[in-house]
Amino acid sequence: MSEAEPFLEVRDLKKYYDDGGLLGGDPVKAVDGVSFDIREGETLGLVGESGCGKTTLGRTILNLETATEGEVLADETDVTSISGRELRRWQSQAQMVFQDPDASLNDRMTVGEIIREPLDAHDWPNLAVSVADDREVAGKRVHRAEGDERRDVTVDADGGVSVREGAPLTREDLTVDADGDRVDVTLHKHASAMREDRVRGLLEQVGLREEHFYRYPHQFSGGQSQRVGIARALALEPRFLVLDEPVSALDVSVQARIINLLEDLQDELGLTFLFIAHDLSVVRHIADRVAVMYLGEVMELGPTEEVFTDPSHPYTESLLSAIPGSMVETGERITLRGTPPSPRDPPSGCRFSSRCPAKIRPDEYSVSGEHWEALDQLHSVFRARSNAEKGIVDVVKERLGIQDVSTVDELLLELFDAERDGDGGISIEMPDDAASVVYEAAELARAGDEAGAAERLDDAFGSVCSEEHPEANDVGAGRTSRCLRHREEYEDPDAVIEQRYRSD
Amino acid sequence: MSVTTSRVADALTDGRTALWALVGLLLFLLEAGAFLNFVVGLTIDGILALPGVDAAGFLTTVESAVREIPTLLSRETIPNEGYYDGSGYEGTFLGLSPAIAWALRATLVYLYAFAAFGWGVWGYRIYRRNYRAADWTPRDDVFDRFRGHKWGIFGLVIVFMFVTMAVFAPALGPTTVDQNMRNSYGYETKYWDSDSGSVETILVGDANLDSLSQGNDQNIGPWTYDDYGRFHPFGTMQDGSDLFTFLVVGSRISLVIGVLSVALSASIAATLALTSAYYKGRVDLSMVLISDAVMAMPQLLLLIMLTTVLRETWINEVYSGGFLLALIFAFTGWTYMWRSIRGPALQISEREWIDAARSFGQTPITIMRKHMLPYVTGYLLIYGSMTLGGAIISIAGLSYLGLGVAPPTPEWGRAVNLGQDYVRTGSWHISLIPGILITLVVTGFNALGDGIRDAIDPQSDSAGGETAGAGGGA
Ligand code: SF4
Repeated sequence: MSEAEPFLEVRDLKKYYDDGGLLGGDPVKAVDGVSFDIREGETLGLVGESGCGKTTLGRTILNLETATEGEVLADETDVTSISGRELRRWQSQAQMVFQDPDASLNDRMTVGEIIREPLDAHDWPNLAVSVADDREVAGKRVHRAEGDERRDVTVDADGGVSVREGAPLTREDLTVDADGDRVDVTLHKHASAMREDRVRGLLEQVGLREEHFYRYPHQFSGGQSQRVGIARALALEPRFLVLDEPVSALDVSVQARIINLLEDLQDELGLTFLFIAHDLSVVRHIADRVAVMYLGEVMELGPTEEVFTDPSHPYTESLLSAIPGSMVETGERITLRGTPPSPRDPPSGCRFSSRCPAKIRPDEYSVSGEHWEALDQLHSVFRARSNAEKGIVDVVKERLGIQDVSTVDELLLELFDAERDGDGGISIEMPDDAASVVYEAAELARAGDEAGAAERLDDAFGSVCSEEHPEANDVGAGRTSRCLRHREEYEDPDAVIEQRYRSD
Repeated sequence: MSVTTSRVADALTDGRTALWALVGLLLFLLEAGAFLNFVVGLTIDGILALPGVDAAGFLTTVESAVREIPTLLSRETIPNEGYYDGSGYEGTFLGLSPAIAWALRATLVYLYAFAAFGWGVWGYRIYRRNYRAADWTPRDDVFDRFRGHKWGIFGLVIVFMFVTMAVFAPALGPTTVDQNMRNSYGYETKYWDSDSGSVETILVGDANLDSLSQGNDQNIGPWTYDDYGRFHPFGTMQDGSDLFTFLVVGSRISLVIGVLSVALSASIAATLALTSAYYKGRVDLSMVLISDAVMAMPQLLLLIMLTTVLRETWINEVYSGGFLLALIFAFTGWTYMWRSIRGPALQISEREWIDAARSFGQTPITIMRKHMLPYVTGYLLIYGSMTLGGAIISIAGLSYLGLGVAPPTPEWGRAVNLGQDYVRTGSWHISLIPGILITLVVTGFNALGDGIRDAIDPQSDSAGGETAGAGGGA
């Protein structure tokens, strides 16, 4: 399976949302330079915290969002820039299953109508007829089979006609006149009858019953609704499905059944999946390979089992260890501190540098591990605040130099576990050289210059991680990881985390 | 094809459905004459409207033939216009007194209307239970909730009675507009002259002059006869014509203008709201600007201005100026409705099934029609019903001011205006009765709107009440 042809090549795909409007602020970089292949017949898992851009990535691949830059190649066509007939063809090949079945099914339509809608929209079917010689095929709802298209009807050289099993009609439903200089095919089955049959077939295929045809989504449980969503996605016989957290809205007991259904369908129909999830255990179960996303970038990519047992990237490691009792057997949890920074203004250098447990530290300060983390957090807070939209009152206060002294102080007290000394100042248990930088930054922040404060901290405590944007490094066995620590001169992330968090 | 045929056959062999169909046929036959008359009349009007055709010869024959078909609810079958010949009534139905004969006819009209309505509900029930493939639909809940909504039912009954009045206007009046108002010197009426002890004949116009309601000295009040033995359920007007006839015919024009203007503004509002909700951004912004601009125009001034400017043009001729009025109402009124449904439309446009439909390449038009419109229709009904009430007030208000529907076409507001001087006299009925009717009908439309809203969205309180009088500005 690992050597299969790529079905889809995603190349440096970017999706920015420019909703800054009149202010012309920074765009939200939801997807920021993503490249990977999806191989024919595989399941690629896409994981990450919410807001990391994984759903946007899926939607951009399906052309539901317009890509800002980059391409998505399927059969050498860039599907992000097609329109008209080509786009319709792509839409029938690539479909999406949505996260919340209740929200993605129109509750004023019966299940039958819902599943049938794609068929109506594409004026399905248009049967592919293969003819032995190079005669033309004429007739309604038929065309000459091209390339490796699946043949619905085959006309032999001696005039014998066969119909594919599973086609929406049987041999009796059509007459073929192959005597002239073209092949005339006449269908006797009405399109709407074929569509209705197809819908009933789909209901059965996803494990629903015929009598569900006239029911409304309200009358279904979450699991059944999701089956309807899957049937709708399969209606046009696609080759590729984007599954956007298809089970996360369902009860745990139902999840497994839907996952099994998806796996069965994949085997049966030879589908290729892009499986988006934040539940890592589900991904581990279903995905052949997994891509870990953070702030619009793929941090690590590789075969699922390897990535899960031996993560290369510090982010993957933190993500895995955040799940109690799972994954990384070696041990203790490394907490992922705070929330991801805003994708409108990601950290410079490595996207993960503000939260990375393995971040490269400058040598000149001998600060304790906890305090390094505190410094990172202080930096993120200052940065976030300097970018936050400020109310008019805040701006006036800032101009007048009345900053809420207390908030900065409280921040220091809390982050560094410090205490107030006699005259109300704050002293931090840290070597003097480091402490004095913190005091300076705090002073700037009190004066309202949070950007300056962040810069001061960055100057002193920043490292290559906050300056250089890491490339995706090949870390062997078809795996890539976007971390500077894979370079010769640095220790491996794994080793650093081991030493920093698990040594005692 | 064969499927439908066999289903029809099934239906007819099923006892209850057959009974239902039979009752329907009976109801139709009772009024078949009127129905055919209407269709033929409309066809003739349509043909005559074509340039170059002046005589619809053949059709005129058809028309007179159709006229001969007896119709239960007509003034010919149950006449109330007769005279006393000293011993009994001549020319009235079964020799009853004109009042009783008229009351009988009016009651039958309403019984018929309610029977037809009930027949419709019955049919829907049969369909729902026996024929519909789905055993439950979301609309069932809406119907069931509405059935339990007393205020809404009250509104529905009032509105239904109003519509019945408009539809059966010619059969309901004790006399006709042509005979009694427009062409009163072209008709004669017979009466019993007690002085001479014989039956005399008089021109209707002259009789009217003796039946004025102009205060305490001269007054024909509600539910009385005038000196010529003619019965007036609501009394006479200041010029001696029959008020009830005036009002039933006037209900037609109110309803037609109201429905036309609301339907027009609802379709404008829905189209624009769906488009702006689907495309958002600039499209939405430009719609906001347009509607703000339209809203900023003072509706009343615009109405006065346009009716004056267009007074001489052909458009003002159509339906006594009612058509023009409907257009102006629609043009100024859609903004309010658009405002009210833009929110729901935007909300719906965020739903994931819109994305799902886009993902398989559904066209924007179909998405709007199939996936957004059904969610907005409810709101359209609510605001439409409420705006209709407002439109009726507006039309009446304009006639009251001497604008709008051109005299002598009957219109409720004009009756209020005409009776204004006599409100404190014995002829109070001329203003008061139409005033009460207007209030009742408007309340009915609002109640219906309330009922629909609660049926569609049981969570909502009466928060939408402020839109009730939105169209009532004029
Ligand atoms: S480059 Fe590697 S070590 Fe540095 S911050 Fe990023 S993930 Fe952490």
